[in-house]
Amino acid sequence: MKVAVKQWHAVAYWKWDTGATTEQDANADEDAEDDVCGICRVSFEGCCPTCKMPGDDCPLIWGQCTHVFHMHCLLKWLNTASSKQQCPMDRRTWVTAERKVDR
Amino acid sequence: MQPRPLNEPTVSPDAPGVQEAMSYLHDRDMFPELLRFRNAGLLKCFAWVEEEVAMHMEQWEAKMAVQSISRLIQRVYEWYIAWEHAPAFMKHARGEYIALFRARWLACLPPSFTLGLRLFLRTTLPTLPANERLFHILEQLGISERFDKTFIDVMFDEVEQKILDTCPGMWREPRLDSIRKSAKDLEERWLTMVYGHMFVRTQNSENAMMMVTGRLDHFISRNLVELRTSEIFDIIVDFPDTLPAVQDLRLCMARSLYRPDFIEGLREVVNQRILQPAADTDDIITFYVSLIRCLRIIDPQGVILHKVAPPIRKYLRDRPDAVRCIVKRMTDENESFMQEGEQVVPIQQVHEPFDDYTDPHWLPEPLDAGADFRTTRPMDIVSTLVSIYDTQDLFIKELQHLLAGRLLAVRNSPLDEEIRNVEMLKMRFGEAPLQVCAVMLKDMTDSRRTNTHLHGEEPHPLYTTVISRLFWPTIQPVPLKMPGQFKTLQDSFEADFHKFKPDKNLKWVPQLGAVSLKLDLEDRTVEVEATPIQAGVIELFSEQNADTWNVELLMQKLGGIDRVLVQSALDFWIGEGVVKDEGHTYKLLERAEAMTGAPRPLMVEEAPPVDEKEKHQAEQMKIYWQFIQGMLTNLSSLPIDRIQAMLKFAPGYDRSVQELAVFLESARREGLVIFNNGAWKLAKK
Ligand SMILES: [Zn+2]
Ligand SMILES: [Zn+2]
Ligand SMILES: [Zn+2]
Repeated sequence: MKVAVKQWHAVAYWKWDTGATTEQDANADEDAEDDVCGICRVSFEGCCPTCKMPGDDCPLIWGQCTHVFHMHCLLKWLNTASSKQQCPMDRRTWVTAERKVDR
Repeated sequence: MQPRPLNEPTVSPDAPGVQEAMSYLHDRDMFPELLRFRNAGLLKCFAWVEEEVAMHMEQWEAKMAVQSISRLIQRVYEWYIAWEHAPAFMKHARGEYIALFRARWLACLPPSFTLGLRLFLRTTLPTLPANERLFHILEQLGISERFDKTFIDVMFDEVEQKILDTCPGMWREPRLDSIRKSAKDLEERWLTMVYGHMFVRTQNSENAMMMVTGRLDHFISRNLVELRTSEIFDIIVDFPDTLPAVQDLRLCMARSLYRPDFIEGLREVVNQRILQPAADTDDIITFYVSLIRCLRIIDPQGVILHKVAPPIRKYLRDRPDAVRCIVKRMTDENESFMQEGEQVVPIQQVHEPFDDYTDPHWLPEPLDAGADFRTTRPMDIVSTLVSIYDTQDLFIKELQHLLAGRLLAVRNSPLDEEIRNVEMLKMRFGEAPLQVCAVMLKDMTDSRRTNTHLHGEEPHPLYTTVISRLFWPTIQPVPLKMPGQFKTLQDSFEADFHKFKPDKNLKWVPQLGAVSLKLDLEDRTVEVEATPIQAGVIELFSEQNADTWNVELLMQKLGGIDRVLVQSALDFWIGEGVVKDEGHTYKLLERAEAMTGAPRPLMVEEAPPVDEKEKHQAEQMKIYWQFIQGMLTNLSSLPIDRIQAMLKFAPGYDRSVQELAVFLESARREGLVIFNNGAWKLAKK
């Protein structure tokens, strides 16, 4: 018997490639799924309080300190006087990391 | 001087001898004496008239033929005329004679005469102008005066008959106008005939006519309202075709006099026809919507609706599937919840009290409004329906589910309709609650772009909808791993996707979606629509030297999915005649076999005893227990329809509500769930 796929309509969901968890534990990703932005406490796959659309419209930003935030959340934070241009999690001076493109 | 029988010749009072005798008596002032003598004779002879009356009335009562009444009147009139003769100079005694005759003969009429007269008069209606003499007789005999009420009744009878003849079931054209017109016409001819003889158009007769006219109009309204009330169910169901009937009702009900009965009738209909367990939820909603539309016409201030609607609303609130029905129709293109010129009312405003005194059509609250009545903001139908519930969360949830189902079912059809729907719903529910739906739609359009980007315009076997997981209904994970060419397709798409969107990874939801397959077998080709699990199973059978499998191995090869899922996929292929059950193994049928296609349960297990079967089904349902448990944890309690609807999102779920009910019942016996107020909830541990 030969099985020919005429049309397969499949469903998938997207997830940010946060580097750290990539491929590390394929089976545990259901547990690790609730990574939230340290500023707004909303999931990375959700969107920051000012955005309505998740994903490309509300991207993430990586710091050299390895902390990750919604980009909009972090920029807003850095615009405040109290931020002193530091990462809100570890108070090190914020330096945006170059996004490593792909494995 | 003495009355005689009709057939005896009378002596003319002007004959020479009589004249002389009269002058003699006159000269001696004996007329009073003479009159007494004559009246005494009259009274004595009245027995003849009495007999005649009795005879005709007996005939009437025996046969109920109006001719008896007609003959009676003719006959009595003959007596009346015959005995009227008196010497010319005694004419001043005539008044006394008329009074005496009328009193005597009317006194001997039995009660049944009233009805007889009424029916007799009705036969005269068609040829009224030809009956001038008759009405003269009726007046002379004092019938017009004594039975004036009957004369009016006859007219009312006629109008009632007209309504009965021309109105029942006639809802598609206005009737009231023509009834009023013909009543007016009848009235003019009839009253002129009846009263015209009594007093010639004096102020009195005008007044009498006015009074009758007013009563007649009331009478028409009351009768028509009564009739339409008895037909109200069909009128509402067939609305708007029945618009003319509804408008007639509005005109009739301008007097609030008939409102209590109308409201009562409406309530009864609602109770008997609508608030019944057997009534379909969709039909109840349809009826409610039509009811609202009809009553808007009949009673724009909404008092009647306010009195009739609450039981329907409560009933709908308790119907588990009502939200779903409403949402489905809200988003259905063919549904006309909106009427022309109607404005979408944001739902937040619905519960606010509302009195717009700047409205030129503003009216004070009607007297029968009742203390709890409040003029509310004019609502469109959808707002009215949504306001059945205290919150709109239910609707948003349901919308999300509905949209999810629809979106995942569309292949490549345009999304315009869904987009338009969501836009319209935004106006209603506000932007924020519908944000999830907006994201879902954006996922769809983004997916289209992604697929086009990765595959070009060429047809490609795989089309992947990439969703933003948090904005879709919760999807329960299933550890399905697609085998063979499916895996290849997935992997290549996944890699391409990651290249296209380097900061994103793709996670499959393998159990969702659908596959169109073509199986080339030795002797035939099978084309079929399958679920991914079914496709995965048959893919394994197509591997080389792998035409026989057992369930355990299939489970393992597919990533460790549950036995029930594999079993039901195998059943699907057995049903398609592609796979054969060989006891513990399943074999691919490269060549079709005669017995294929017969449903397996019939061959394997010959009608197990009910308990056994139930147990078996419940066993198979266990896989879904975790889904049910999750639902009930999140939503506390759910009616069975909702559980069933949500389980549709579980992989491979194809149980009927009945099977689900059996399972829930067995779970209840085990103390896992409780059933209360039509809904299931988890038993507290
Ligand atoms: Zn954030
Ligand atoms: Zn944002
Ligand atoms: Zn940091």
